[in-house]
Amino acid sequence: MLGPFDLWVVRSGGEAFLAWSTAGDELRERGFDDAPRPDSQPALLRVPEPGRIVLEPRTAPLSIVARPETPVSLAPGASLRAYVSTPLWLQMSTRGGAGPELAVQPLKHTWAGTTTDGSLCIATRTHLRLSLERLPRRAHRILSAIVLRNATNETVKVERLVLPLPLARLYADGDLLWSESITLVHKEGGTDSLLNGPPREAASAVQVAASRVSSSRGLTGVVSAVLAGIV
Amino acid sequence: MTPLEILGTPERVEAATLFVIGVVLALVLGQLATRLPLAAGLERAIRRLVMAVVGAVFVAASLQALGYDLSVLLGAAGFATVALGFAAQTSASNAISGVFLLGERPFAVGDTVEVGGTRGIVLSIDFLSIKMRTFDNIYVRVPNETVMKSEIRNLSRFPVRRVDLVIRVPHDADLGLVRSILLGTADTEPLALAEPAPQIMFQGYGESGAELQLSVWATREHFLELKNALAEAVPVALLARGVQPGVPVRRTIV
Repeated sequence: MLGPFDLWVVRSGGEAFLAWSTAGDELRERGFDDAPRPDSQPALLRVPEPGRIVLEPRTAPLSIVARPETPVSLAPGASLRAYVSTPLWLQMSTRGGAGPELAVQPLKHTWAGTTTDGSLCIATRTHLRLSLERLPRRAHRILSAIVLRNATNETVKVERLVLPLPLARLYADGDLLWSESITLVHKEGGTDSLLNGPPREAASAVQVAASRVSSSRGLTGVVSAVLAGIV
Repeated sequence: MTPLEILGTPERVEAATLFVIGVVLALVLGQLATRLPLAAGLERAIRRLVMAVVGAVFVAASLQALGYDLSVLLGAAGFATVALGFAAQTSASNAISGVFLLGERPFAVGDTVEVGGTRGIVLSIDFLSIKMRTFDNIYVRVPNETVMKSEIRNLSRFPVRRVDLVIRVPHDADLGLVRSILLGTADTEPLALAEPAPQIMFQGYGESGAELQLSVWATREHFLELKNALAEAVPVALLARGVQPGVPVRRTIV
């Protein structure tokens, strides 16, 4: 059990199946214990026996769109440090090899860009916070520190940010997971994203997962998405 | 045995040589033409055109080598062209339309399009016609002239599409409540995109009640799935909050 995510083994006719559901909270409210109900519609994966199942934490496979609690404006030359928490993914593997990749909670997709050109992203329901203390800390979510710098000569209003999380490495600091710190530099004609290792709030964190893609070239639409993020 | 011994005369050898060269050249040039940076689906049409032109030139050269007087043939061809011109007006129109179609590229092979009331997936774009497969698996050939004259709706051009659902509620329904129910339903649909944000548009007071349009965006791949999901979810959500979805009603006062 990890937040709303439940994972359990079902044995049927001498065969083992791995079952999971992201409706955990809802199921528990209805008196769910350890047996899957027909209406819970868990996903099933036949797994080899004997063996062990490995779950590895991963960042989101798509860029994440986050909005600040209230629109923030950045004066020319000013910078802003903010925090956001995003859903965790789990890469499952068994003795037979890599299995499916699972999001630990239901997700909502969103579109960054125009309706004729853009990229598919994941919307986070958690707002971008200016203070880390105001961010709920949960084991099933990843914390990210973001620095936004306005390198233009005009004040920019930040209504939403597109964070290229697939480019970021993942770190563990005690019970918390942190992504690599992300710096977004808003310049005339574009926004650059820079990744700066573990954030200062988790300086002693250890890396638990590599980035999904090694450069923004492997992340379709990330540059335009970041551009679209600063309104 | 030498080619001369097989074919008998040097003219026949020359004609055969030209014919073989023509065939080889047509195949090679046709293959090379497919490597041009063209839109998907044009390769076959370009290859056919190149092969036909090269083939015709070498067949004419072969006939000339065999001693046929092509000037007579060309003279006859002039008359034949006039006759054929009348007979092949439609084909010529289709071919010319095909050229414009290939240049304009309103769709590509694999796109889902609607042409002249026919909706389907484009299988090929040729010089005379396009071939489509409809969603009930029927093969449809649409002449290029028809395509050029018709409104073409390419459903695959853009990555996201908007699902519009018109909902009727009684005239006395609380529209604020209806609005929140509809937006809440869109929010809970996993396939609905968070942005562009779902919208409610008031359409007017109709005969059967107030009409509202719920507009929700989805990726092109999930458009139909979301449309069906919303059609199922909206009436259930309205009834659950005590709002009776409107049905067409006609009052007759005698």
